[in-house]
Amino acid sequence: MDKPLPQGISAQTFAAAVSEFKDAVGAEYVFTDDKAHLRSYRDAYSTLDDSNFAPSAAVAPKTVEQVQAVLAVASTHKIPVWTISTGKNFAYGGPAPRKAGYVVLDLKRMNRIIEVNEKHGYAVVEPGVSYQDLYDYLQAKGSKLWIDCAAPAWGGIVGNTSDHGAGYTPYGDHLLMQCGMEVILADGTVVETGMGGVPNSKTNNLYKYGIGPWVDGLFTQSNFGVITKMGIWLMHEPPGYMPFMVTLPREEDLELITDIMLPLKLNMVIANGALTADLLWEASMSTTKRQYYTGTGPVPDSIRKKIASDLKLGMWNFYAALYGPPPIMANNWKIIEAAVMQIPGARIYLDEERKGDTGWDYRVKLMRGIPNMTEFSLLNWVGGGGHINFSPISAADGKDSMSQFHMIRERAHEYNFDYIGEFLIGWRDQHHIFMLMFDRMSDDEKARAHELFGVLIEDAAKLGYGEYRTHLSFMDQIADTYNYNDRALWRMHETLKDSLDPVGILSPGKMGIWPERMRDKQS
Amino acid sequence: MLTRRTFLKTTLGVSTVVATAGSAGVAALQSTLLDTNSVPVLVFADGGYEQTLAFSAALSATLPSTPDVNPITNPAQNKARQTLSHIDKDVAAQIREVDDFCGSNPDGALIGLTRDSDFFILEHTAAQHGFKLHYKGVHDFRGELMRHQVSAPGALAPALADTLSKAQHSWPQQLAGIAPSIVQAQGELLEAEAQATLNYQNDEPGYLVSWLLKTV
Repeated sequence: MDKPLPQGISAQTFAAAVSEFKDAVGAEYVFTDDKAHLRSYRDAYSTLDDSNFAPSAAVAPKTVEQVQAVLAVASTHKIPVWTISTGKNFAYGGPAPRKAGYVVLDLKRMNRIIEVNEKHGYAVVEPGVSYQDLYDYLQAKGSKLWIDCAAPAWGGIVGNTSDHGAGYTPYGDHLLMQCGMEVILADGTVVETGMGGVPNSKTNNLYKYGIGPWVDGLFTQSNFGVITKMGIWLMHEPPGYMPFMVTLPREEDLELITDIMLPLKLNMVIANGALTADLLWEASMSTTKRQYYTGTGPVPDSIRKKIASDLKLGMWNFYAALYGPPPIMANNWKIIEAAVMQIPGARIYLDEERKGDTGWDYRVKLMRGIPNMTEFSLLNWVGGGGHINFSPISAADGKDSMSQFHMIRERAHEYNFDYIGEFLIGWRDQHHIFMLMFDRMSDDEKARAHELFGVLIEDAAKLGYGEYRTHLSFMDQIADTYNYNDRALWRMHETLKDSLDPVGILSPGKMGIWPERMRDKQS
Repeated sequence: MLTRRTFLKTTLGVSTVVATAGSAGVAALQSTLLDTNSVPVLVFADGGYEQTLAFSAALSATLPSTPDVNPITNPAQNKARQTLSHIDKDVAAQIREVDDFCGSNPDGALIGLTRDSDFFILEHTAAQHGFKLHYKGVHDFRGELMRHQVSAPGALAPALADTLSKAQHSWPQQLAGIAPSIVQAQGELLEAEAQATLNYQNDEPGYLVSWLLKTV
């Protein structure tokens, strides 16, 4: 395939820009060879051919000054740059840009852990720092601080937080635990947010809001600036940790467990990012579809029951943990145990009963902030590597959970795919993650998966649901569902975009926010 | 993911190999680089399946003085449990190994017969060091047909697919035997596919990928 150029940019202009990028960051950190380097910036796991998201080049600055220089070049030549941190946001597009031809602004080389404050429990990191990096750093220092990580260890802290990612400890709402940012605007201006607006601030990473509008959220899931530094709060190691799992024998038990857990979450009896995962999600940690079913389409109920029996899983499986002094944990455990036992057939498991089981072990690690990569075993369920996440927000409400589950499962089955999903419980909401697995070697499966995803967006919007995060392919469609009052929210985003990035160089199209010069061309 | 996986670090074309213990419960063979013309390779084989174990055993046999360092249990005895990726042996533990190998052996190669998820992770890790796909085979035995879809340099692709297909159930051993040729092969990646009628048991994974990553 010929390497694409940015839309509307001539080969001559592109060559000039590349030359200036090399001056800015050094020739060895400007990548233009498709086969040698740029393949690693593709999303090879989506429903579309990866040529749809093939970059024309990648530029990897090391410092704020180099980022500024890159943006100056991009601005001069009107080159769209697509910012990534570690580029591991797979299922949502990974390192690939929204459109073929963009230049990837790769911040992986900005990988300093600038500060760890043991007393106040925070770290300040650059975008290239992964969860595994920070965990290893803390371990090496003998720190008593815990991180809260995304399921894949190689995910970047800045990238995941700015994409509204979630984790599994009590610090699981990553953006809530973010405090202080350094952002470079399209014109090169460096902004410190919150208390960082005060020169030599002593509280930059302790108090989020400063004075005046709190703007940090504007730089998340957006294209208004480039985050080059972020403060993130870290949890002090608690005196006790007690993970547990509840297996639930019937599909309708999702309603019961959700309603039972909500007050326990709101009162912080259960303080962590608890979740309820379906049978196949858990099964895929330790087996493959073929080992139980060689037919086409979704796994039949009779087979599902056998899988559940063999692997000692429920149709739903609830995971949570207690943290704190043992007497408090013991007291809270009585409350939880009594609540769970209201569900007929529910079975509680503790560490001594499940240790060694893959699904249990990796959850135990995640709920105490130990990064790992086990969740990628999901890819083996059907083989072929294709996966894309449909991620609507549900209320933390039993009936709502069931409604959304049925909506997705019935459509998935209609399109001959398994429902593989989990509900990650927030404070009052749930992140419902439907992992749409498909064989990327099959054009038919790719096409069906792509169509199914679009239909699900429409179905969800009709019922009043919106998604919290999405793949490159569906950003525009989902943005269009946030259309109250004639798209007032997105028109406001566009106003901000035009003001902060008038040339329109920063990640055009991110979450359906296009700069003025490209807006009409997307319809 | 990589439970009980054989994890070989050696070179193709060397005569002395020293066994050492690897990290995270995986066995390793640490090579002594005697031949400057040899290509250092890091070999991955998922330890949970008959096919991957046959591949690693056959590859070990092609390497002189390579002891069998991997205590292999019979997958058939444990069925699905055999494929468990125990958290202590999570592939995350191998990312550093790949980083170290690729960083210190820019002329080396990574080769494996693994599940898709392991390849996914290892490929992306190696890509950070400029290692790119030099060969990939998809071995799909989810139905009655065994399909080998191969992307390999130059004229090797059709011959390789054909050889694997004709090898019937011994395709992992054949693949191990051809591995040195794949490392040395040159040219653009071409695709080829061949298939055979084979019946595997349902407790097999049904889908494995073989692959080779190198910088040049």
